Amino acid sequence: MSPLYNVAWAVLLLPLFGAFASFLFETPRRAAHAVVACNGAGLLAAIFTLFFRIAHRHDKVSDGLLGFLQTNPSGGPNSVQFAATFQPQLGIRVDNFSAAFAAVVMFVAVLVLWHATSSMRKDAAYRRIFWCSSLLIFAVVGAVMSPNLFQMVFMFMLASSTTYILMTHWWEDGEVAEKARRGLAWLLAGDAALLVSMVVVFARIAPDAAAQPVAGSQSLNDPFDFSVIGTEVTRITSHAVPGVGSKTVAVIGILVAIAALIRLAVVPAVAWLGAAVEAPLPATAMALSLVSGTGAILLARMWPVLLAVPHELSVIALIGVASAVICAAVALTLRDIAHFCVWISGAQLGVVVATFGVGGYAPALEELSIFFVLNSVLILTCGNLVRIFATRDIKEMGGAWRRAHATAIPMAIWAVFIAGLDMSNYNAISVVLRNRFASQPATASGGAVSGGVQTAVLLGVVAAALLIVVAAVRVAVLTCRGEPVSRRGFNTDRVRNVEPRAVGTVLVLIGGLAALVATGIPAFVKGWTFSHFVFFGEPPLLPQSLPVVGTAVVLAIAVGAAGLVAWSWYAGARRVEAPRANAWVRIAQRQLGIETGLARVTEGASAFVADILRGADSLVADRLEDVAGENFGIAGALAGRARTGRLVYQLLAAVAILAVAVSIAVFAAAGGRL
Amino acid sequence: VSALVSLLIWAPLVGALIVPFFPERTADQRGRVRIVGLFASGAALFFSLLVAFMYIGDPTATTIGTLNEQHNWIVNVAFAVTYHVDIDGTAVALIQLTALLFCCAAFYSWKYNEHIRLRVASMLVLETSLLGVLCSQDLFLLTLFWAGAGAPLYLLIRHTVNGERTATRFAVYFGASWGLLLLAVSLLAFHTPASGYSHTFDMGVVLAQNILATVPGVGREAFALLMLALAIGCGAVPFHRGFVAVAGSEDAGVASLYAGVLSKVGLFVVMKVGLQAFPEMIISTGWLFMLAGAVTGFWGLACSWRAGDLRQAVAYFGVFQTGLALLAFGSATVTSLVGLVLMLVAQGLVQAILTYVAAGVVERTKTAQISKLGGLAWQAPRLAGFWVLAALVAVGTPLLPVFTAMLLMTTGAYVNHHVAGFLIVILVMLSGFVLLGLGRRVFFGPSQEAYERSADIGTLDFAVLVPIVAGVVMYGVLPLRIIPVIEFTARAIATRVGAQ
Repeated sequence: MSPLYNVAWAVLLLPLFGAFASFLFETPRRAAHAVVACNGAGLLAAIFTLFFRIAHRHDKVSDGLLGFLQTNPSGGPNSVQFAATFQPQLGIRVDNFSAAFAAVVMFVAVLVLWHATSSMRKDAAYRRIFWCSSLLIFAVVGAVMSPNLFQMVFMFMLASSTTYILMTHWWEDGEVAEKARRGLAWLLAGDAALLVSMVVVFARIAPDAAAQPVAGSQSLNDPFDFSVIGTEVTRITSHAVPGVGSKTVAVIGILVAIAALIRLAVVPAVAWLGAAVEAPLPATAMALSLVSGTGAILLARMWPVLLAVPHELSVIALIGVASAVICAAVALTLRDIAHFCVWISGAQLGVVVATFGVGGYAPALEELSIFFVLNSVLILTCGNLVRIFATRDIKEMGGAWRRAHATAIPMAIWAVFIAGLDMSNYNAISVVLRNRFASQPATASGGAVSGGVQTAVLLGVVAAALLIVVAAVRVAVLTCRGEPVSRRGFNTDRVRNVEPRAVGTVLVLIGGLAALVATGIPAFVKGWTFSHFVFFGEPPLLPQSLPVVGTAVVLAIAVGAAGLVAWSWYAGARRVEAPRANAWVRIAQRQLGIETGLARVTEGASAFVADILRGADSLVADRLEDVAGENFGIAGALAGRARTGRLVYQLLAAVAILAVAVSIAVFAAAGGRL
Repeated sequence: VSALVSLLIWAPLVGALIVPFFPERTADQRGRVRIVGLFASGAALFFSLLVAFMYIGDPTATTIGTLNEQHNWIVNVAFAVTYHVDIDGTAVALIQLTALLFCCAAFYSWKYNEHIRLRVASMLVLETSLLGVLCSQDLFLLTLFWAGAGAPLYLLIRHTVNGERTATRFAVYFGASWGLLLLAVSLLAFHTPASGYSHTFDMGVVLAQNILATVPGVGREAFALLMLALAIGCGAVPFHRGFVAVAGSEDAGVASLYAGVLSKVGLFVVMKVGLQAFPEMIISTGWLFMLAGAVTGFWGLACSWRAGDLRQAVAYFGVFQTGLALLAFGSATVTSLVGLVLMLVAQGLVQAILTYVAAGVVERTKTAQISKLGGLAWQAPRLAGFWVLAALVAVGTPLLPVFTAMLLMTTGAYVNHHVAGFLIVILVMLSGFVLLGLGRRVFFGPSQEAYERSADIGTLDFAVLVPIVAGVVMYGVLPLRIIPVIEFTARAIATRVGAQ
């Protein structure tokens, strides 16, 4: 294996180094530049790794590993059940998948940081934004390049903590801090599921993995390694592992799915994205675009497990499509542009999940890579709009096209992309159509998803796509068309473009987006499409053969066009409000009451129980102890009353006599040999 | 080298013996007393680091008795007691924790001006006692050292504001705990076949006997007594109120030592004695440990969350830590025991940070009522930073020590009790959540006019908190260095459990 693969270490470590280096500089501005420089260098390393991998795409997977800790569990009451060595490792895996995604992630991260050097420059905690963001980038890249489940857990938990720090950036607002805590609760729930899945893997799979011949140049069969897990799952399903059955695989698969779906912000876990929008703009962009996407990375890496669990993919598909429809419907009704970003992100992620669920591994990953960039474009553009209009209310915006042309252009481009040009709709629809109607399904797993589920997913994806388009066009029109809305305390003459750096970063992102979409077009350059690249050389999976599905193309274009027509029909030539929400949409507008409802129910119930426990402490335990304590005190008081100078001497004499007596007794008992 | 353990144990006591001869009338004189205390604690910390470096360089040194010291003390009567001290792998980390937190408490004594000799001397005696417990290889010696911790703690607690009631409560609980421990140890020793014509208290001999096989009835009684002593001494529900009273006391130095060190040392004793003396019982009653751990953990967290008083909330957090430790006892695998030791150290450090930060808050605001607090991060951002750090440690953030400990405890516990593995993860995550919630109520939100003149932490507070944070970082980033040392002894214990 070429030593040049070691350059990939720089991709992982430079963001971490940047986070620490930021403390070495006296001024926050210099610290920010140091962080950007380190991450920029990381981006260069990622691009180099990607091109090197493209040039050597037939190479085997390259792993670089460091031991995090090591214990030898044998020797206890469990020596029969445990593997001999518990050795979680951290490192990098360079394969086509990680090389592609690391480059995309670093591209987005560096541009977001660069945008922040301009948009956040007046912030009081400027330095914190950068070091913490750099740590978050480290966590995301670590998850993307993760060679094993342990590192995935490690990076997920690190991302949760750093996201929390960023979410509480404006802690002065108590509500923001409370939202951040609730957001963290969701993330921790997912992390807990993933951690337990790792423990189950070790307890149930490791003994058999340890008994198998060691693969490659490694010193042991790491049971957490994704390839080893895949091989072991195959052995388990073919009944080659004594004492371990499909139930174990199901438990692992369900736990992994829970962790991934929470990270992917499906309803109701979308609440954590709601907390993330209260963070500074770069943090919001990274949380909504990158952190949420790591859930899909986890699904992709644990794909063999998901395939082995009956009906799991169907459930995932249904959850994804339901989430997409709900999120898109809610996004359509919102006035707050930040919340719009949350729900539209949730909708896109729902489509990614649904595509995964129907067996579209490569299309889902392609959707994900485009989502990383496209969503960043949206969030940074919305951030720019909020700055120029000094409000988050969409109704109070308007006229951006005329007054702030450069700022408005990305919003229009985003709307065009999400209306279908990003190929997400096509990807999702084409997978279902191939599975449902073609003689050769898109993947072997595609055939495992029942026809009813596939039809439901197809209808759901079309509905979600329609709603997404309508919502996107609505926001783009409302913010860009007409003249700025007058309101008290706001001078409409001040509506002008944000600084060139903030606009320029978004335009560069759009350029990257266009390139990414081009690589995703099936048969664009034969053998060089995204779906072929991420699959290549990844046993036991084979490259997905994805020719163009004409019906899907027509349907995707129709959906985009229908969305535009629907909005035009509804809006006419007038400036309009959000669609009048009927009962169920109104419920959804309050986030289905899920976020607040769940919080109320869980916190209310927990508080009730906790208060009972606390009450028991003060009512029962305290009284019992007081009784004991009082007796003790009474005894002390009595002794105090009896205390006189003479008594002390008498007591001392008694102790001395007692000591002599005891000594004599011991001496006698010992036969004089003391 | 052979006297290193004795130097470690008795160095603080030497300081304690010198201190009473110093006057304490003027500020300079009091300063000298504190410096003596700091030097004595510092000496213990130095020796503890020396031991740690010796063992980290060569983990096998833990098994071959490099530091073993054994001298006859009371022999040729009905029983034989030896001055037998040594440091095994599981004790190394806890010795470091003890020495570190006592050093920090010595720094903290600069905040007090009254009864300074009594305070410093008591703390040093307490340190000797706890280090003695950790190093004892003789059960009678261990019991004596444990008893030795009672008097200085009683005096320290009694001299705090409203300390009389707390001290009384402590005396009742500690007395009961010590009495039960003495009874259990005596039963063990006197039912061990005598070597020569005297029964020995030597741990190696006593624990090697399978008392449950030879005298089942007595074995079960001794087991019950030992576990009761643990429950009372370490604050397991329903015996936690004494723990809460002391851990929530107004003297942060005492509270941090009690909740951060003494309770952890108590749990260590149970691990060392209980697991080796009663392996069968531990395995067969594993579900009971799990139940007790779950109840104690959730009870502690619930009360911490809903407590109206900040110090009480921190004290209840200590109760949760006891519950968490109990969850790992039942499985007694090598991995869970290594995780348990790491968790005791990590939680001890977290508890100390929380206690000092809570004291800092009360010192600045003159109130401990959480409902009256809020927005303190405006005036004391560093204090808030330390709290958030402790919460992030507690929640299991990678590169901080609870993460490694949780990982090992969960993995080890899962094998024997699946539910225990789940519970450990849930409790750890919830604990961080509770701490972040408390932090939000105390530090975040708009600034309050009443606290506008409050200052952030000064040099002294830094001197107390920074070493603890250094310990947190060291154990979090370099677990690979200390784990082999702990594992050597943990394997011996687990092997004994497994052999039954």
